[in-house]
Amino acid sequence: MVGRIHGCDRCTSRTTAIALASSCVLALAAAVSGCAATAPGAAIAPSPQQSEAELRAGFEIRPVRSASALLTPDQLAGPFHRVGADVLHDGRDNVYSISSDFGDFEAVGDEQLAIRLREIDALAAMEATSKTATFAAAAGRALTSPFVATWNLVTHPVDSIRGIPVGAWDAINHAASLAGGSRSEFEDNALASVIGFETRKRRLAADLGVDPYSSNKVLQKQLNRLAWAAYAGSLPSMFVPFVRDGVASEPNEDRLSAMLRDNSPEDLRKFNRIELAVMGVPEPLADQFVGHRWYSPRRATVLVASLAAMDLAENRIGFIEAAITAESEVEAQRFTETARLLRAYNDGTTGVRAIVGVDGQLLAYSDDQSLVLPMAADYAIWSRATADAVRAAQQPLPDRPVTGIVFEVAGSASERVRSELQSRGIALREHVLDPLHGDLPYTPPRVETAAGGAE
Amino acid sequence: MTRSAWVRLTIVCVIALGCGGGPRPERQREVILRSEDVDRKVGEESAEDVEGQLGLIDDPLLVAYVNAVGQRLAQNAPRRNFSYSFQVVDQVAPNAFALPGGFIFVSRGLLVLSNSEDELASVLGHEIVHVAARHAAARQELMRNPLSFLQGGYLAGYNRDQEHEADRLGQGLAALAGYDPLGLADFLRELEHTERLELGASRLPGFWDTHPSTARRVSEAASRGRLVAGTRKPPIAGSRAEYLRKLEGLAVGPRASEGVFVRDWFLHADLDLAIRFPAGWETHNTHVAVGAISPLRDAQVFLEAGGTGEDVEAAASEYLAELSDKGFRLTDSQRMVVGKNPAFRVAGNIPGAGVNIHAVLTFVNRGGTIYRFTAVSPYVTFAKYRGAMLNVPRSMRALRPRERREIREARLRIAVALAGEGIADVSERTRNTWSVQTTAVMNGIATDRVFEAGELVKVAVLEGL
Repeated sequence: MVGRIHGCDRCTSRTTAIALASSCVLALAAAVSGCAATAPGAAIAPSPQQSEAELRAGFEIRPVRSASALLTPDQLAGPFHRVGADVLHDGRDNVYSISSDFGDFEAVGDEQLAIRLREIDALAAMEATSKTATFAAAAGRALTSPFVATWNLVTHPVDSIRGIPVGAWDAINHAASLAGGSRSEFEDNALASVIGFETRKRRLAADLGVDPYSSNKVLQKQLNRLAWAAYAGSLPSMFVPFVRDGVASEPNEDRLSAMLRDNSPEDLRKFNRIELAVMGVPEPLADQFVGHRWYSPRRATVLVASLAAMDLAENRIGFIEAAITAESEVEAQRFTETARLLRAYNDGTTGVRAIVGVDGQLLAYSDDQSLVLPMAADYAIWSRATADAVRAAQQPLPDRPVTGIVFEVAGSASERVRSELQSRGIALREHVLDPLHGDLPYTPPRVETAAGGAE
Repeated sequence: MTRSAWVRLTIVCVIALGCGGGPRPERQREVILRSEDVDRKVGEESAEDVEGQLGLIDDPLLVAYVNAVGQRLAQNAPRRNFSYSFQVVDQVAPNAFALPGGFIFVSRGLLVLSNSEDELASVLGHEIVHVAARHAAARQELMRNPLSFLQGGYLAGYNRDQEHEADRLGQGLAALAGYDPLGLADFLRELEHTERLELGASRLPGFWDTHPSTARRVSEAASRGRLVAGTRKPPIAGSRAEYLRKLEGLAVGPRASEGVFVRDWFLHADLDLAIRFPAGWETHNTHVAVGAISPLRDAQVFLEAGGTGEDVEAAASEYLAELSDKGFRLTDSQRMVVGKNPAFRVAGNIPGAGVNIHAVLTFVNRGGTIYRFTAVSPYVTFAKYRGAMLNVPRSMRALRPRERREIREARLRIAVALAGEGIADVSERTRNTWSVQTTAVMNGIATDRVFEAGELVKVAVLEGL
């Protein structure tokens, strides 16, 4: 589960444009307003965290919408989960509550909902596996394996540090030297990485179609359990590899998935450091980013790959300077989403020539002299933060003539936002990322039977 | 793909310098092998083949230096589950390539062309990226795909995206290791000039070319190199002068120790051997064979080592057993004497697709070493070349003193320019065998350069063994 986003009062105290960019992204996420415009999906009441002051200022109410209006029946309820009827809004993203056979979860944003639903199915598949005789035998072998002393390190990295054999300390020290710095919140301990457990876990996660660096503790526990049985107990692979686009992920899968599956966290960091150097990001700043606690290896790799794709864009350093100000998983996720939005514009519309910060808002200046305002939001409402962002985009840029402004939102925008943008002559692009309504077919993980088929 | 085929592919598909082209109608999706253990195993086996087919430079100091530069780069490279190793192959062409599992090779021709440690580092960085990103594994897997149209003859090199990524990240890697990322642009510029010198033009990208043009790579590398972040550190060599001194003495062009062609004669000092090939034919000297191809390219005659022993007939029988598996049908055989050496000659045909090939093989025992001469041509043209080709084994004899003196090879020497000298002046003073244009390219300078006193100039000087 992730922490909720909190409001940010620091924006006005920031001095540099780039630093402001980041804090205002946070502000955008936290801002609330109080206009009574009715959004699709039936706003029945303001979300509880919205303040009276914001409501009085004439901005839009954070809607509470019906899950049944936003989700497909499969997403709404499945064999192992049910999404709560009311979907709150945190100023940018939909906030879902999920009850499942494996516990209750909160998902901030459509993307995280999609992730959690897949994780629940993966948990179900893993649970089914763990009831098989094959697993029981492997677990037994793992208990007597030479690596058993490290199992506690895998599962309880803090508690078991004391009292382990000296050799394990050596391994940890070796792993730490490989790491060459801090690790994010989402990685396994260094020893596990060294002994190969982590490799098994990545491959298991790839087969299940989940992120090995997920912040979902329930998923992590089960992944660890099965990966340990695979590593120390020689549990054979029991999952039909995750299917994407109707084609088995092996051997045809996209480059990012392959990178995440095939590279250790340390190698991903090294790739990212090299990419950042190519962008001109100074080493100390690059080190701060790749060692940032809220950027899991996956998230960091996605963000860096997105910036790298804009290979002619100036000032990608500014983006990284902003990104390292993230103070929570959600904030890091939004910076990542912002980078993806800019990449989508770069790849699909016109090349991004420069990333610029105006009054704390990250913008992109394109080859056709358009100014792109990326809005990492499932559902953009006309909030104070949105209004501030739009105002920033409307300011003249020194030496950069602007022929038009594009408001690019990951999901959709409210009627009020449409109206406000239209009155200012700003173009709107919606559903640029839209994880719940993409073209990925829903394919639950499958467990291979002993005969090699799938059940 | 067999291991040997894989090596041949890899050798053909070199990184910086003419990576082979294959059809690429649309963007290929990446395919990544799952097991790095497979990478390592394939790499180890292929590295042995590289050593066997190309040979490695036996200069411990130079190899240690190249390896030190490589290891400095590798510190910032994704480690995967293997370690990187760097070797210098005995190859004339400027070339570098990587095998799966971290085996990276540069040719002596590349070292001769390079002018600084920054340039060498940029090339090694490029190769490290190919390995770290497992580009070769992806290529290999693509070839295994039964649906791949690249199977068989059209063996593509790295694709354009992979080359671009290797250039880009290689520069980043070089910068992180403290090198000037513009080294890649400098090296590629020298390479492009070499291409212009040899081909009359820089290679241009086309439909059948998976490799970006060198000129474009130069431009991109120069633009990007100015932006890449990094903190310069002193080169391992210390200075350009020290770098060039490390390269001094490298053979330039074919090695005399492996035999040289002087006009139509192939002369080999160690073997005390002189053989005349047909006049006007295109001659080739590789690690596995020396031979010649007819001007119309419809006949070949070549010499290979056939092992040791006294019994030429037994040697012939053993080889024929191998050939029969490939469809060779014996039509004639006879004992004979070539010079004063016992010999055995066989003739036969190999059915081909639409054309039958006729071959005559002559096995000669010369001092306990079996030499195998093969003359081959389509059946319908064989008679035209028969005399010329069969004269080749007959010409085999010991070297004459004059011929022994003619066996020389060009070696890289570092000349110190005098104030006001031009390239021609330095060449004349040092007996440089390179033309003014080649000398300019090899030194990364303009042809009309006027040197200041003490400037170092790479030259090629013919020296005896």
